[in-house]
Amino acid sequence: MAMNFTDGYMVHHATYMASRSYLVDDQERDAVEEGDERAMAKAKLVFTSYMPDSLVKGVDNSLLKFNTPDTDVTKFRAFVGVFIKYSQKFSIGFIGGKELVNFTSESFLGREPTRTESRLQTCAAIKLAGLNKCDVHVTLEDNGG
Amino acid sequence: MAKLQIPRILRSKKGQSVVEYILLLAVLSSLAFAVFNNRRFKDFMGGEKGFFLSLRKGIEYSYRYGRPVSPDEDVDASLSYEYQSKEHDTYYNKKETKSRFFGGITAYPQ
Repeated sequence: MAMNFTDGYMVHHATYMASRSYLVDDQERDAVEEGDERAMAKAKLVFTSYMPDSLVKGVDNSLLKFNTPDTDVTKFRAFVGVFIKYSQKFSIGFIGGKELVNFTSESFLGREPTRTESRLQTCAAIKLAGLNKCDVHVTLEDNGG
Repeated sequence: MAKLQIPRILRSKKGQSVVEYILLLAVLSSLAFAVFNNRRFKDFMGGEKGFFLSLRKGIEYSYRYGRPVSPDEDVDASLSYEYQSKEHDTYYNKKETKSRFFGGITAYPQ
């Protein structure tokens, strides 16, 4: 069983590090979704850097899944992040049977709003203030009220 | 009184230990055969039900949720959880119907 647990802790660590990357990755893109996809790709690279293919049999970054901030995908926001499901032989050998052990490693650190999202939200606020569009220079002033 | 006629080969102790070991081995083999062919033993060791099934499910559960399995836990339901509700066992205490995470008692002023 120790082998199952040792592999499992390594996968947990790699998942956590991938989740950290997914939390903060912000590559300047016009569309929020495109930025999210790039963050996923980056998270997979980070996962592989901690868990190279074939280090643990049956585990590679293609198994990594994402709960995106999109509410259609992730209904409950606390679970935005990264998870991976994989199976291993029960390592106590012949007495444990042939059924595989199914592991799920999760890390839900969330995802920070990107610069693109911030820009879009700021633009939406400017439009609420009365402008039709926000491709002109606007100065926002906080009057402390 | 006439002497008991015992063949010479039986008067020697040579080979006695070997015979004893062979007999012992035969007894142990019979016992092992009886145990390994027992249906209940096979069920117990097979991992499809019984002790090893519980062990496997316990490992899967504690690996995912970071908590030991409690006896009244619906393990299969917990393991098939797919993020469609807040009832993730690390996050949500189903018995007490509240989150295991804590926050302020009163709402943050708006």
